[in-house]
Amino acid sequence: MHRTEQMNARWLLVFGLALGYATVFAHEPVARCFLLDEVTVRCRGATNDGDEMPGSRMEVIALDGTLLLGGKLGADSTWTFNKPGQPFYVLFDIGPGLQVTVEQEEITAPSRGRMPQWMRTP
Amino acid sequence: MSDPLQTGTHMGILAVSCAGLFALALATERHAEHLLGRLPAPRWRMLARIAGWMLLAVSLAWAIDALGTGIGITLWLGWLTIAALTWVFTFPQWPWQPPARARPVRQAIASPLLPGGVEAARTRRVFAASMLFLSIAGFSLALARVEVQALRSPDAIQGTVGPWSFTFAEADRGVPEVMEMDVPMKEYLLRFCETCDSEIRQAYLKVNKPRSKRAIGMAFMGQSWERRIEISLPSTTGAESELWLTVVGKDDTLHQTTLRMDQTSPATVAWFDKQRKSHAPH
Repeated sequence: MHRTEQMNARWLLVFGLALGYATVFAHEPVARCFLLDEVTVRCRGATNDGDEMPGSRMEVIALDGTLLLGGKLGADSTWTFNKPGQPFYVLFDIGPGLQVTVEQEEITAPSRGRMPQWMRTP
Repeated sequence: MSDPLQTGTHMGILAVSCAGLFALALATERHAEHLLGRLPAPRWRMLARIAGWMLLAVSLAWAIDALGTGIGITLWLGWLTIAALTWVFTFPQWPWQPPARARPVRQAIASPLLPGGVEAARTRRVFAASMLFLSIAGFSLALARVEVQALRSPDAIQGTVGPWSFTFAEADRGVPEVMEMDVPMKEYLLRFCETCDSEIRQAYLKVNKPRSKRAIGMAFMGQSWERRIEISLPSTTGAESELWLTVVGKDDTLHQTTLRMDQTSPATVAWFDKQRKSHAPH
């Protein structure tokens, strides 16, 4: 009886580890931001394996730490906002230890040949 | 588990397997006559057959009991093969075999060989040899491709953050993996010194200096002894980019250190340079 319980515990551990690894390797948040025009920025947040995350929160924060803007991703997992006048970065924080930042210098106009689909919709 | 090699167990399994196969040989008409010089009575041969299978069962049970089910069965099959081969090469040299008889029957079978027979036999032999060669080549290739544990490789970086020393390495030395939205991602491994490890609550990693205490990056996951992380790399990543490692102790102290990208991930830096060159406006 004792041995059976031990076996069960072992299988649970194996299962848990497998499950844990699955989350470690497949659900990191990724974010990309591009200039829609001179004054508008559009960001898209997703998991690295391509799951969209509508409703997740994205924030625009000034370099001194003040929260400038905050919003939720729309149905297409994107969020569009007016570019602030002061230097900023975008924080996509979906849970403890699961976050990604996009620095302002990464936010450029997309090159014409490589315009992603989510930047084409108005 | 005082003797991790268990040499005695292995030799025992081999010996019992040898005995079992020898008994099974005695149970057959052909080998019994060859080994004993005369054909034993059917009753004795039946006894030898039972004893043979029992001995093989005993060696299997021994292997499973001593080495566990999976490893036990596998190694038992290995020892069984060696035992069988031992007898295959011993029997022709057996000193007590009866004098060879003239065998006209064999010759009668051999003579009406079709003209294509020799050709077919050669094709079969070439096929068998190439299969053997292919499997050896395949295994050698697989063996050559086994990677050294990243954290133990000489490329791993030794460093300290606050009071703690650590080893840091890429999970693989290659280029980043391009994932959703063409975001390049890289996996890293982190191991703190044995005494440090129990003092650490969580470790975080990101490219570029954290802008605030909130934006310190992704948290390492997995068992503490092998902390893993997969982070996205910004499109601005270059040789001078820094990986910022933030470590929070169980006493709530926060320590940070930086690692240069060209030291941790040279292949990744080269990949980014190439990407920028090929996508630069003409």
